[in-house]
Order: sequence, then structure tokens, then C-alpha cells
Amino acid sequence: MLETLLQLFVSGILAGGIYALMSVGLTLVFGVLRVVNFAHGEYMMLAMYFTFWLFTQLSVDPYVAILIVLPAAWLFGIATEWLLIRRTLDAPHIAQVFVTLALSVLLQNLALLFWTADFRSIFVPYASSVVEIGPVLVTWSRLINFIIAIVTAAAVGAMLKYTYTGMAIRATAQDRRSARLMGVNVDRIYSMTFALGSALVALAGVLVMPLFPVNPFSGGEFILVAFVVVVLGGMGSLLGAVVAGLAIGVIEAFAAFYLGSEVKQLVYFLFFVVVLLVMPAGLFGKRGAEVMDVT
Amino acid sequence: MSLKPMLTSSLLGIAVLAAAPATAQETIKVGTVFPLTGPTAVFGTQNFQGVVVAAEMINDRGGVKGKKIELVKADAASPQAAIAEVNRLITQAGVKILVGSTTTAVAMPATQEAERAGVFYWEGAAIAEQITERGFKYTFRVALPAAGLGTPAMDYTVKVVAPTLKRDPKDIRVAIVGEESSFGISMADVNVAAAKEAGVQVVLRETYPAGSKNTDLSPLILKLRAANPDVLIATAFFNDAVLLGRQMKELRFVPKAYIGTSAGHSTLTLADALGDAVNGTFSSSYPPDVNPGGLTEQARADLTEFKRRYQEKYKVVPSVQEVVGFVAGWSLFRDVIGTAESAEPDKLREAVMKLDVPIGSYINGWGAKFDAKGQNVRSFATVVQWQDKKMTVVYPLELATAKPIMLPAPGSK
Repeated sequence: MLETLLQLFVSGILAGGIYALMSVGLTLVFGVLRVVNFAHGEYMMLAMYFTFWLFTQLSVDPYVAILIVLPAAWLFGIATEWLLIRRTLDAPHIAQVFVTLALSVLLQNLALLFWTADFRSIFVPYASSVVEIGPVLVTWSRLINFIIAIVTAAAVGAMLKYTYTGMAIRATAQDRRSARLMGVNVDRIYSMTFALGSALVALAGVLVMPLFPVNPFSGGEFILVAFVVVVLGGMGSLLGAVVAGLAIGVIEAFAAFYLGSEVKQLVYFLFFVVVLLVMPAGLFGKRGAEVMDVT
Repeated sequence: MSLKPMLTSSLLGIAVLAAAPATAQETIKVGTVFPLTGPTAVFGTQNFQGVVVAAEMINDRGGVKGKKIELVKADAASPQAAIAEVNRLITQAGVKILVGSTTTAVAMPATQEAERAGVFYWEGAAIAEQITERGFKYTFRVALPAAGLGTPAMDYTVKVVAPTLKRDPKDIRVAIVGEESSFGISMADVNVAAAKEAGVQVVLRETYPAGSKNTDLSPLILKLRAANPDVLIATAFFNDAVLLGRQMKELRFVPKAYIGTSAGHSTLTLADALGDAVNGTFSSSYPPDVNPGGLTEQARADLTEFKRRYQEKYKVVPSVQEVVGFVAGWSLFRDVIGTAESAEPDKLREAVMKLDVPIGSYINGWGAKFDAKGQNVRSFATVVQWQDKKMTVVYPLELATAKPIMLPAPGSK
């Protein structure tokens, strides 16, 4: 029995690590730019395809592909921020929603056009080898993914806390106008933050490629949970995203085992509703963070 | 040219066209309603190309009662497009016979429009039960309804797995899992009912969220491990079939037989995703390459000719969907239009009701006999097993091309 409990806990935590990584970029972009990026999942999908092609065409190992996919995602983030997001920052929320939603639909359909709706997957034998930790069986790739996810989230957290750029990002998140008055190049911060958000979700995309197949709609399917994680953790809170991601992973695992797989989502949504009733700003959110400040 | 001769000549032309007697030039128009673009275009195109080859083959053999089949192509990329295209075929092209539609999403509106206009609709592969449950007069389906993809799993368990394990079916424990969609639930219902009838014990029945949303199925597998079934029957689309296959291996859960019900378990790329671990997995499937020994002599010849023609024309080896397309076209041209008094919907309906084509008469082993609702009762699914990373027919025995391997699966307790 204890063995099963441990196995469930570990499986849940490992799944939660990926949820956290998917959500960190989303919450960061929201916290700083006050834009909810509905195309976040499509960035992940593109990264998955990129990894797939690198693996099948050039035999690039997915963990090496990180070095290629991440810079590409960064550039793609800068390009979208400059082309689309920047132009809607002062527009009403509805315009921002439509821009990112349209981008999501566009990217999905381009992917459909070029790559069809077929699922593509890669087979990396060592990725599904198993590590035995006491009675618990852990898949190598899930373990590595978890470690990379947590280290990355911690690194981003440290960057925000201790570097000048990090402080500038936090300042911009708190008050755009004052940040600008203090000499922060706010436009550059926006661009950087959006690029960082894209790179983070792309990292999640690369890491899950040895585990899951990709098709043009995969991003949207996976990222749904990221929106729950971001709101649960508190919009804009990095720590919140990590804690909420892990919590949802664990809740899902236990609910699936004890109550049935069909209700696992129901259970975490119930948890979500209860938390929001008690703590309307989420676990680590500040009240009022969702209100747009005056530029 | 002055006006008068021009008028005369064109009038003459019209007269010739209108009064064309039953010469070799006369054709029977058949509209094709398949999704050729958009997300379901892959299967749609494969079905369509199968129909095209069927039309060419019958025309080269002298056509149907001396008339050539003329296909009028439409692209039913979405339900909306299906409605527009069916109406275009009926009103502008004057088509009274339609063949389609690959997906249920296209078939439902397309058959509805056809029925309203009193046009004959020959459905190939669309799978939902409702297609033939609406009391339509002119809609007929050649392939099996959804439940037909589920039944072979339990059949196989009772008739092959149990004897091979030297056990009475009543001592066999099965677990039935699947995604929570109408497809997954109806597959599970069919198998639970069949298990009850055969006295097989169902030790676990569980569904999980549908639609590629699962990132971790280990809780489900831990439950399976605890329930310790001999046979696992699973309904999963590709994403979950991959996840289930990988995580079962990782968590060392090995049932004696693992049987999927089509969908993800019968997808060619499953072998790419699972590598050698795919071998030994069973799945119900539309008949792929059946054993020609189970076919009539004529069907064997048809099969050889179909394969040759398809490869020459499209440069690929035809597989399951192409074959279903061909069977839809072939049965319509040769057996329905070929035996009907005329190509009018009412006469075609009469011909369909009288059909009695024995099993083994079509290239995938099917035959044709229709029930009052318009469903072919002589189409069925086969059980395939992944052997050497290829799907090989192992059941029904007369169509099997190989014996099952890895039964019980190595490493199972």
C-alpha cells in the first residue's frame, strides 16, 4: 500500500513539474505585459514539431535540440512581441484577447496545412528506461524533465530577484510608468519577457517530445492545464506557478487512482474553485494584479 | 456565320445531347463526397482514390450494363462544405447517386441533404451508429458501425486467447479501459456485454478523459496492476495508445494479452512511437491485407488488379482506407447499379434490399446483405497483431495470414 502511495506521489510530482514549466512563461508574460497569451500552447506545439524534425531529419537528440530550439523560440517571441503584442498593449482587453487567440488559430492551421493532422512521435529508447528508487519506478526522461523544469524555474526566479534586468522586469510588472521614470527601458523589458516566456514553453515542448506525440492541436490540449495553474498559483507569481503545477500533478494522480481516471480533472477543478473562494487572488497572487495599471 | 445557321447548329447540338440513345458514350454519374482538404483529408483522399480505382476498373471491364461510370468530384472538407457540395452535385451536376464520406461529421449532414432531395447515398466508412438509425430511405452503409470494431476483442478473448492459455473463458479476467468519448464508451459497453454473455470476469472498467489531454496514465496502470487481469482491452486514440504502451512497459504491467479496439492501436505510426514494444499488441481493425485464401476466386483476381492499378496510379501501396474506398465503389458499381433495373434511387434501393453477396466476395473479405435500416450485415472487423512492427491479420481464422505470437506475452504473470 505504502509502495502504491509513494509511486502515485512521485508520478504526480513528475507530471506536475512539466505543468509548472508550461505555466512559468505564461504567468511571467501576464505579470509583466498584462497580456494573457492564448497562443502559448501553439509555441509549445511548434517547439515539439521542431524537435521532431531535428530528430528525424538530422538525428539530433531531443536533449541536445534544446540548444537549437530555445534560441529559435526566443527569436520567435521577439518577433511576435514586436509585430503583434506591442501594438495592443494599450488597447482594450478584448483586442489583446483577439490578437493572441487569432495567432493561436493561425498557427494551428498553418501547422495543419504543412504537417497535416497526423500525430508524429519520436522513439528515444533510453528515454523510457526506468530508474528504481526503492520500490518506486521512475522513467528516466520524466525524472530529467522534472529536474530541468525545477532548475529552470529556480534560475528564472533568481534572475528576477538578483539581476538588474530581473529587477527591471519586476519594476515594470509593478508599475509601468514609474519604471519608465526610473530609467527602465520598458519596451525592451516587454520584448525580453515575451521572448523568455516563449523560450520557457518551448523548453517544455522539447522535454515532452520523447513522451508524447505531437499534432497541430497538441499545444492547445496540453496548455489548458497551464491556465488553471497560473490562476491557481496567482497570476504573475512564479512561485505560485511552480507550487500549483506540482499540486495539480499530485491531485490528479491520487484522484485518478482512488476515485477513477474519469474524475481526475473534476477533482482538481473542485480544488481550484475552493482555493479561489478562500483566496480570490490564488495561492501566491496579489489582490488586484489582474487590473491593468495606468501606463 | 449569320445568326440563323449558328442557332440551328447549336439547337442541333442540344437535340443530339438530349436525345442521345443508349450508346457507349452514355454514362452513369456518381458524385463523390469525401473530405479532400482539411484535417481529415488523409483518410478522405485514401477513400476517394479507392473509389476512383474501382470506377476505372469497372469501366475498363466494359462498364455497368454497357454504360461507363462517370465520377463527379466534390470536396466535403467540413460539415458545412458537405451540405454545399451535396447540393451542388444534385442541383447543378444532376447527380442521383452519391458515394462518401469517410467521417461521421461529413456523413450526417451529407446523407440528410441527399435524403431530402431523394438522392441515393452509398456510405463507405463513416462509423457512427446513428447514420443508419434515422429511418432514411436512401442511405446505406457498406462498412460496419462503431460497435463492430469492439466485438472482435471479446470474440478473440473467448475463442482464441482462452484456449491458447488452456483456460475456460470463465476463468479469464479482463480489464476494459478507454477514453471517455462516445466511441470509447460504446466500445466498453459492447465488450462488457459480450463478457457477461461469455461468463468472462470483468475485474476493472475505467475511462479516462478524452482528447489527448493525458500526460500521465500511471495511476490507471497501478490500478490495472492491482486488478491483475489476464487480458486488457483498451480503446484509445493515438496519443493515449502511445502513452499506455510506454507506461505499461515502464511500470512493468504485462497482461497475457493486450487488445486495442482499432483507433490508436491500429495506426501505422504506432510502431514508430513504441519501437519493438509494439510487437505482440492486438487490435481490432478494418481488414487490411487479408489472406487471399479466404476470398472467392473473383475477389482474389480483383485484389491483385486493384493493388497493381492503385500502385501504378498513385505510387503508394494501398492500405486499409484505400481498400475500404475501393470496396464501397466496387459494391456500388458492380452489385447495386449492376443489378438495378435502372439508375433511379427507388430502383437502386430495391436492388440493395435484394443483394445477397457472400462473405469473401470483396477484396477485404466482406460480402453484402443489408438489413431494413440500410446497414450491411456482412462487413466485419478483423483482429490484427503487431508482428515485426507490422499489423498482421490473425482473426477470423479463414482470413488470417499468420498465427498469433507472444501469447501469453513474455513477462506476464
